Amino acid sequence: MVDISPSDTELIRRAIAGDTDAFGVLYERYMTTIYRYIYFRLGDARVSEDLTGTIFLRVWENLDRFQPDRISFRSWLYRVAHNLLVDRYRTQKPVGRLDDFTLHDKQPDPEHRLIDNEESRMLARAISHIKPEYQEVVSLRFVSELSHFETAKIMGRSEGAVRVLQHRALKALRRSLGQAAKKEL
Amino acid sequence: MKKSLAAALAHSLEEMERGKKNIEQCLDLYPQYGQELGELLRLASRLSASSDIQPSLAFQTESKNRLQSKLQPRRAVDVNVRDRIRTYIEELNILRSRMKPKLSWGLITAFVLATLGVGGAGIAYAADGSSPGDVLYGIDLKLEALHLKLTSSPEERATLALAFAEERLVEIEMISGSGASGIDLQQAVDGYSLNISQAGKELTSLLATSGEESRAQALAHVLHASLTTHSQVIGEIRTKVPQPLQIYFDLAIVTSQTGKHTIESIFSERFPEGRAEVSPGGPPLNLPLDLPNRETGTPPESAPSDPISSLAIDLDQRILGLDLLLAEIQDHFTANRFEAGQAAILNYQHNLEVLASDLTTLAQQDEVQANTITLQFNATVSVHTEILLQLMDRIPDGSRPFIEQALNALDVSKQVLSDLFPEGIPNGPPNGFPPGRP
Repeated sequence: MVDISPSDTELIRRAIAGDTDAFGVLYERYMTTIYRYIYFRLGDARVSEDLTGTIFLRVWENLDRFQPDRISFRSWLYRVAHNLLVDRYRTQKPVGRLDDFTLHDKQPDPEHRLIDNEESRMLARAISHIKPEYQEVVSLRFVSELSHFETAKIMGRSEGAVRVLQHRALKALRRSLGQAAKKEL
Repeated sequence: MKKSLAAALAHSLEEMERGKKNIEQCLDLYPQYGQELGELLRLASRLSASSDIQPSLAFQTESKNRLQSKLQPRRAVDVNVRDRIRTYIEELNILRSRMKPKLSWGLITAFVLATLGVGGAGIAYAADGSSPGDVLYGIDLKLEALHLKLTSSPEERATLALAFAEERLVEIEMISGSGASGIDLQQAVDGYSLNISQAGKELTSLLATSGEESRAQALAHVLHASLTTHSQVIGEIRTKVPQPLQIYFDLAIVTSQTGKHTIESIFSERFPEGRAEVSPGGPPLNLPLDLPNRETGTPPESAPSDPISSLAIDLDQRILGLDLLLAEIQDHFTANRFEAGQAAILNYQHNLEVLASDLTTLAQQDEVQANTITLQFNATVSVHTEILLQLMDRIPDGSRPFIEQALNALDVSKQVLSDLFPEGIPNGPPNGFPPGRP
């Protein structure tokens, strides 16, 4: 089937001209991925929801600055989210509460869904115990499924640094998961 | 050469993300890392598979309306380049009038009067309002140079040099509207190149100072945005002057374009991660001026009827258009849109070939015009080569042959230029931004 939904570029053009509906479509398109990225960094559903709204407001206010020939809208959005989180880390300690979250209903079988939910919960908990920069690279690369290049742009690092960082982050996460398993035994 | 575990992991992940290999096939590639690589790849897969966390249902249903109610109305952006240029010229005039009281002229004037041996403080003020061709214009330039000398920080010197460059633009605009002579225009354009060169040198000096990266980046942003607008302003005025005078505008455009590309090149090299930040908030990059219709080849409305001039202007604009095509290529490949990227490269390659062929035709008809265009084309070819080489480092191995294809096309263009000018391609204007690869 042919995809007839307007492109990001078209929506941004309309949003810059003041079309709030076009911006609403962009919001629907990216709201969940941005929420997920923040959730894996902060571990608090309520705060993550608030910050998601703040990020999109900030994006709206700065749409004039967006340069589509230099960066994709998605990368720019993550960059704004990254900056907001950096500001937040500077002023506040991470929340680290890992409260209830909603999981996408991909697995129809209740037993499998339960296992999936539990696995996601364990992973999210383990992520909350590793260093912030490891959380970020894990969140961008594997939760948001961004490329090395996009991750590097968002984190303000070189691609080489991201490659090294993701290796260290996965090792740290493996350790964190191991420790969590020991505690549960 | 053996890859480190981090590199093997990154490569394996990329292969899996592109759907080319599964975990077992990746492990076959790096048997030396067997178990550890396997564990890390499986962990990464688990993360991707279980990242279906969603915000609460209430948030999903209500937040959009809540957000939209908070959005402040935006002022519709005027996308008309000509209007923007007019506004910019007006702003330049305001800036110019505001600048005067800030420049501590009293102190400088006393010094200058002693140095130059001229009498009366009024002369300095009168000189400041002069333009090329005026008796006092030389004094105006000397005062500016002096003021630059007395300014201690490289950042302030760069900003001041930029302000002086913009004065040159105002002068160019002024004398173009009142029957300019070539000598006067040459003087103003040389002054512009000199000021931009000075700003470039100060940026380089700031970059070489450790701990000044963020200030250098901020300065680069200002310079980049200004140079982008300068080339638009110059391009706009260029269309209003008689054809024989347009060569001076071409030189000024080369200065601003080369400066802009050099800043991008320096920053993508020094701060590869912050490349996108070179021009935040600035005007959009590389807006073409009256680009001819690519399909029909129709020249811009303002093109004169002289066929040689038409060809020169057409070539000039198409060279600027190459920037857009390159940006398109970068965009597609960095967003992993490889098919679109390949199509953009074919288009780019075709444009380069036609441009080189047309330039050869122009060289047979008008050597002076061909010199100017060659200068611009050569700088573009060099900068594009650099940008494509950097792009090649950032994309998957499988896509590199396409970039190599574009690089080969640039090499062919370079060869055409060398054949046209066996004694050497004309040099760029004397500025702080040398054209071509460092």
